[in-house]
Amino acid sequence: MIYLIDHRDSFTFNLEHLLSNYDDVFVSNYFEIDNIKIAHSNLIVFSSGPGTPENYPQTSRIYKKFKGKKKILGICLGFQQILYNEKGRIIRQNKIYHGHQSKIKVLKSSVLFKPNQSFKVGRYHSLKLKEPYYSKETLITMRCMETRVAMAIENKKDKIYGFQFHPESFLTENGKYIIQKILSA
Amino acid sequence: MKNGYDLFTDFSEKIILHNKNIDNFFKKIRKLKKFRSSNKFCSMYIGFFGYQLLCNLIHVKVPKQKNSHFPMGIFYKPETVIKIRKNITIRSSLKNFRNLFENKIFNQTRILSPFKINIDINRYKNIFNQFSKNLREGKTYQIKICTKYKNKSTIDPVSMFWKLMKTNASPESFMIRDNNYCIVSCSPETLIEKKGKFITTKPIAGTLRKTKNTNIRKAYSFFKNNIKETKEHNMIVDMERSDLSKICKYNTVKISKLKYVEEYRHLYHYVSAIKGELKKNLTTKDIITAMMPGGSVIGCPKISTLNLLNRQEKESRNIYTGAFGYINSELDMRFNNIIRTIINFKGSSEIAVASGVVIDSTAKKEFNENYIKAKSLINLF
Repeated sequence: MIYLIDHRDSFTFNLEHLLSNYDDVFVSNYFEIDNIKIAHSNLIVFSSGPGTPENYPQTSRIYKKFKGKKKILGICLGFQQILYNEKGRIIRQNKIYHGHQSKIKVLKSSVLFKPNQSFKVGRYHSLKLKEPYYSKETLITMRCMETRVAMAIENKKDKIYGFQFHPESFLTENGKYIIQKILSA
Repeated sequence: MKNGYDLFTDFSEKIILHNKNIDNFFKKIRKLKKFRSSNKFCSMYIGFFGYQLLCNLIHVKVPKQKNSHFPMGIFYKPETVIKIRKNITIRSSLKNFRNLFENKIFNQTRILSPFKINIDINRYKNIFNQFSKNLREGKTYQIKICTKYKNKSTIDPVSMFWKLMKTNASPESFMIRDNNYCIVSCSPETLIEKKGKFITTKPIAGTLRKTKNTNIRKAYSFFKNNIKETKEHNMIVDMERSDLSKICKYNTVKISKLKYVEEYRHLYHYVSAIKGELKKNLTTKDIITAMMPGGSVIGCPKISTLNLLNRQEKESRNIYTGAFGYINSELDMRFNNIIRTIINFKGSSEIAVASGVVIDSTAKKEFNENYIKAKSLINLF
């Protein structure tokens, strides 16, 4: 089962439908976690949402509790939530992307995707990862081709993955393929 | 209606909604099914949910605001429907249905003071800057600032409605005439159309003023090439997909028509249509709380944006960005977003409009867009 934590976003249920192609999905608010269900899940997904990772200490607690024990995937705010807990700093961007379609490219660091593969993806984010960012385990694996902003992370050892863009958006061309890669990782 | 108008009358019931009786109302709707009358056309409730009621239904609190104590929602049960098409047909469950020409005297349109706006450009700029900051902080991705035009007047809604239909007919137009209030609307936007197990929504995001040099083709290329309008529209499409996904079966939510242009007398709108197949065993309340208030008239993401709006707005939105429509005995329904609407209550007429703050918008332009939207209604007076 997939446990999808909703940060009260208006895109979460698109993600639920996308994930439903691969397993049963259980959705709950970030402040109403079903501890039994989450303990029985195979994958925990952090949804996108408004605000910054600091605003969601409950989700940070879940991250710390299950890191290394369960596969974790973060989308947009969820992506930032993972980085925030891995000593990354999340800052405001000068140029903001809401409803924007960008081309992104896979880097050599990726294990799941072919290097140099490119995707058209939908973006909804005011904030981004402050770089340079160094981590032994959490590697940046995709970047925006135009602005070089970090678009994906992979932590192979702990099976932790994240996307700054929205695989479930109608603006993302290969959303199904991208999610499938995570599910089979 | 597409080819004419439906006129409902002989109301056997009028329900004034508030937070405490709303659940009873939903129960009542379910009972409609059991007492299905031979006259199917009248087995329905028709009316509206106000903005505050819709917020409360999704557990969003609205702080105390200046308001005219207009009801939070009103629904009527009609016994007679008059279908105005090429021919006029009357269907009624009553033997002696209403004589349309009864001598009840309603108000004439009388203007007692000119329209005044509740937020001037300077206050608007302040609110705009505050919301722009919220955008940069990621608290909202798009938010609509509401301004209101008010005057002191009485109106004759029937003549006003037909006047409006001459200049600005729209698929979701409606008019209500009751003893103590009236509403005249040329809403262009369908929020919910539920028929059997299928549900459709047609959000509008993008407005272009008509000039001598514009036509529908040029409007389309304007929207298509305008990055700001495109991004704003994309966001609403993803948001409405997600709202539908809450209540629809997996993988049935599809964009049936992406980004097309609808033409009106003074402006063009950029519209998309999204459709899904409803899950089994849903209640009317499930559907209403998933879809309302309509995302395109609020902003995105819905809950966080509603909270920002409600903290900022000092005056009640009243019916504005609520929803008008019907629910029938089959539990089919159709609701619009209440925009482009005049409400007259206690000797005052009110027109509310809103336009979106996204990252590329400017205060002056959005303030003016609000005026364009109100203009065709103000001109009726």
